Amino acid sequence: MHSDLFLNIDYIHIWIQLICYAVCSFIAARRAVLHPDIWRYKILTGAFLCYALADLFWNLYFTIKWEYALFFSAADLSWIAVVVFLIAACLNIFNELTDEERLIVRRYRILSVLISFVLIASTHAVMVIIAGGLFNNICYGIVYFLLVYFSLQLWLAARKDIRPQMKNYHGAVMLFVLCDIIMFLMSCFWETANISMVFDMGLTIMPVILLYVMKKEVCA
Amino acid sequence: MNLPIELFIMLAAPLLIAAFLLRGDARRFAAFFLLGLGACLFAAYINSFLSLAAGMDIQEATIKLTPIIEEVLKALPVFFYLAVYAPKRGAILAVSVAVGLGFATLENAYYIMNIADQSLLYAVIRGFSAGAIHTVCAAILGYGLTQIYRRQFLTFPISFALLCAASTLHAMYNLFVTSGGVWAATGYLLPIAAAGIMLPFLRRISVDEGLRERETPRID
Repeated sequence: MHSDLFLNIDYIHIWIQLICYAVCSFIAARRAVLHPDIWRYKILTGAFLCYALADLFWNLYFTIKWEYALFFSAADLSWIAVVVFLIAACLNIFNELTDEERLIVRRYRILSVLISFVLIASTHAVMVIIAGGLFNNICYGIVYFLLVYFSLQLWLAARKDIRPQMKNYHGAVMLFVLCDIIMFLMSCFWETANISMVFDMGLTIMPVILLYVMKKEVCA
Repeated sequence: MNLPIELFIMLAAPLLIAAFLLRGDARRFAAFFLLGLGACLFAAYINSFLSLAAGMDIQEATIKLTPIIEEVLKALPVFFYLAVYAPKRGAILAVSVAVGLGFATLENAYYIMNIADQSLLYAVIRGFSAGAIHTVCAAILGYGLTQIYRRQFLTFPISFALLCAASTLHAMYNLFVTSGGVWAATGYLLPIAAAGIMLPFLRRISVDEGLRERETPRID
C-alpha cells in the first residue's frame, strides 16, 4: 500500500517535472533569441529539452510496460546529455575568459580535482556496492566528475572576483549535481527511498533557479 | 548472398554512378546518401551481433541497443565530413539529412520485402514514420553542428549530447511501435510531430544561409 502510494506520487511528480523542464526550455529559447550573444541560454535550452525527453521516455516506458526502465536505458542517455550540455556551458565560459583570468582560474584546478574526485568516486562506489550497475555508475561518474571539476574551479575563481556575477550560476549548477547524487544515493536504500523524492523535487525546481540566476547575471 | 547486401548493391550502384557524373551540392548529396545506405547495412550486422552477444531478445534490443548503434553509425559520415573538409554552415545540415535519408531508404526497402503485410497502407505508414524518424534524428545532429559552427571547442560535447538526445527519441519511437495498438499509432505520429517542431529551426538556417549568399558579392 505504502509502496503503491510512493509509486503513484513518483509517477505524477515526473509528469510535473517534465512540464517544468519543457516550459523552462521554452523560456530559455526565448531568452536565447533576445540575447543572441549569451550562448549559455542556447545550451541551457538543449539541456532542459534533454531532461524533458528523458522524463518522457521514463514515464512512457512505465506506462506501457509497468516496470521502470532501469540500468542503462535510453532515458539515462538523455540525462547524461543534460550534464554534458552543462559541461559545454562551462567550456564556453572558459573560452570567454582572458588569459589573465584563465591563469587565476587554473590556480584552483588541483583543489577542484581532489574535491570532485572524492565526492563523485565515493558516492558512486557506494551506489555500485549497494545497487550494482557498474556501467551506469561509470558513465554518470565521468560526466559528473567533469562538471563538478569545471564548475568548482569557476566558482572558486568567481569568489576571487573573476566574473563574480557568475558565482550564483556555478553554485546553482553544483547544487543541481548535489541534488541528483543525493537522490540516487537515497534511492539505493529502501528506508530512505521516500527521502530521495525530496531531492527529485529539488531537481524539478532547478531549471527555474538556473534561469533566475542567469537573468540576475544578465541584468547585473 | 542475403537480402540486405543485395538491396544495398541495387540501390548503391546507380547512386555511385550518379556521384561521379554530378558536381557540387548534388554530388555531395548523392555521396552522403550512399554513405547512409552503407551505415544502414553495417547497422544491420552490428545490431544482430551485439544483441546476440548481450543476450537480449528482439524487443529489448530494439529499445535499448538499436537506437544507439544506428545513431552513432549515421553520425560517423557527418563527423568525417566535418573533420576532413571545411564545410559551409548549411552544408552540414544537408549532409546530415542525406545520411539519414539513405539509412531510412535501405531500412524501409528491407522491411517491405521481409514482411507478409505488403499493403499500400503499411508502405505509407512505414514511409512517413520510420523514414521520417531517421531523417529527424539526423537533422537534430546536423542542426546542433550548424549552431556550433564557429565554436569548434564545443563540437565534441555538443555532438555527444545531441547523439544521446537523438538516441532517446529513436528509442521512444521504437518503444511505441513495438508495443502495438494505440501506442503504435501514437509512435507513427511521433516523427511527423518532431519534424513539425524542428521545421522552423531548420528553415531559419536555410534563410540565414540564403541571406549570407546574397550579401556575398558575386565575382564573374
